Amino acid sequence: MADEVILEYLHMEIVNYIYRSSEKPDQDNCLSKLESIGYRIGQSLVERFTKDGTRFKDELDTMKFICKDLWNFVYKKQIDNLRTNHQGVYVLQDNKFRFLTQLSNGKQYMDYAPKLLALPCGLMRGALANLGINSIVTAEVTAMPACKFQIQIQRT
Amino acid sequence: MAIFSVYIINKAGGLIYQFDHNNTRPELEKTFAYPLNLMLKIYDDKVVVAFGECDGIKVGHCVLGINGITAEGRYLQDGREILEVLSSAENYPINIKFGRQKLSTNEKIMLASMFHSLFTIGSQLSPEPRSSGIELLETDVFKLHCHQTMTGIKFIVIADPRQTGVDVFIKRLYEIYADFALKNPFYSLDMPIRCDLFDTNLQQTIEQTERQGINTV
Amino acid sequence: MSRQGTRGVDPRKVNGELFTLTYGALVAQLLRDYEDDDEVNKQLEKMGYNIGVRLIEDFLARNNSSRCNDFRETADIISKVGFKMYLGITPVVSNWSPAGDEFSLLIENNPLADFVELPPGHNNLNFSNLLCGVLKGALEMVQMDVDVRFVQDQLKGDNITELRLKFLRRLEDAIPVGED
Repeated sequence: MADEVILEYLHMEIVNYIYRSSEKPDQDNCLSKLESIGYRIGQSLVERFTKDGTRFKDELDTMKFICKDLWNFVYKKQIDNLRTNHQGVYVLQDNKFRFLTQLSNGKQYMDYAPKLLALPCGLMRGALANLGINSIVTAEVTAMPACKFQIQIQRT
Repeated sequence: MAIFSVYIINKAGGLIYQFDHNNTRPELEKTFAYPLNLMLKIYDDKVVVAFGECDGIKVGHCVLGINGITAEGRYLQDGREILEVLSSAENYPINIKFGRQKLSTNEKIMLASMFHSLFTIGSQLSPEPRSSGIELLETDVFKLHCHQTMTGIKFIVIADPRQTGVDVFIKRLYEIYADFALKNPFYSLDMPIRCDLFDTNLQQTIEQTERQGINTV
Repeated sequence: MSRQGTRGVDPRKVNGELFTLTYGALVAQLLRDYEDDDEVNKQLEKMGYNIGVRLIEDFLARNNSSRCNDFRETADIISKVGFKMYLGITPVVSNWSPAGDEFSLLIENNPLADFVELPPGHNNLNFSNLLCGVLKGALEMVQMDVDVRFVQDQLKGDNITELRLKFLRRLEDAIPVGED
């Protein structure tokens, strides 16, 4: 058990490190690095998390697992709203996303939000990938600290 | 019960945060006929009463506005110079608003660094080593509470003398600082705190403290 | 993690596993970015330092601890309050130097290094070097210049993970008045 402060500061430092270490401010590259760190975390997390769970019935069942169990495990709350178009797009709304609660509204903060959301997006993609679902995860903030994650299932 | 204002001073004596809460300083409005029975003069770029106290208007009060137009230093908002307006008879009868000038940001910064020095002097005057420095400064209308953290940051709260629970409030203030200033990725240590969430949380805590202050009395 | 189910969940606590995995992913990224173990150690310490200088205020705001009279008291607070509060472990304080200016923190199960196995060829890597930086940064803010380093690491086959803290000096310039 660790204190949330530690995790928050660690996350903040990871973001700072990635941006510090890239020579020119290459937003896309930095975001994808953060995303891939998140992917790793999500992958291993879900591995340990579901080791004695039952198999999921279908895609929606998996999504419910993400919204309830995984979210609770990582962010200590559940997703507030899950919507889908039944064609492989899911929108998860969190009205009070943990990594955004310390940020005020304002342009400066809005510009910063993607940096804080890249890792969580990766985490979700990693978790889903390990449950057999390939996807693209993006996040969008309209008003802090609410946040919408969009999952697009990639069928091959 | 009231908490009037909050100051945060960094290790070096620099003011990094200041907040005034429902600071209602008395303001007086009066309509005058020509000639004006008050002596006004310009002091520190403000128009100040120098002589002729009447109806609660005291020496030292500033002109805050004329006929509803706010004063900015020695000028009115519409650009006219206050003393000139008051010297011409055709402008009378005239309504003038007097009151104590609010502290400007520069003055606050100066006072904060002066307090910082005073705090040092206080602890040097102590007969025993390791004195805490000034923790409480008492006047007839307010009490100044000061808490210095181990890292050297000073939290100063100016409150009504009857306000209770200020110690708890200062502790909460420190937590708000740790949560909303330090965890804000844009905040760098020892720099001024400019953050909405810090403001709103502080405001909430002030209001809460004020309510509790009433309950316990 | 097993404790979480049995007791009421403290809202300020997050799952230790999540923290461990996050930290692990960071170190993995660093190893990819830098070939050299020493450079990774340095980066980890630097990041830890940045965390430490802020974390100390959180620590002081939430604890009513007063200034320590000697280094022994500091050691106790680091172990019994600091580590306990933030990582949920209580390292054993031991191996005091005769002068009382140096001690070790013995960590039995390092939460940062759960499920970690060092990849071959990284003998110089101090996996948990972040801790050194955190302690250094935090202590510096309460005006103590302390040298912190790993002398033993279970990841490297030692019996125990040992963190050595050596008091160098008080940072006189930075001491707030009334405390000198």
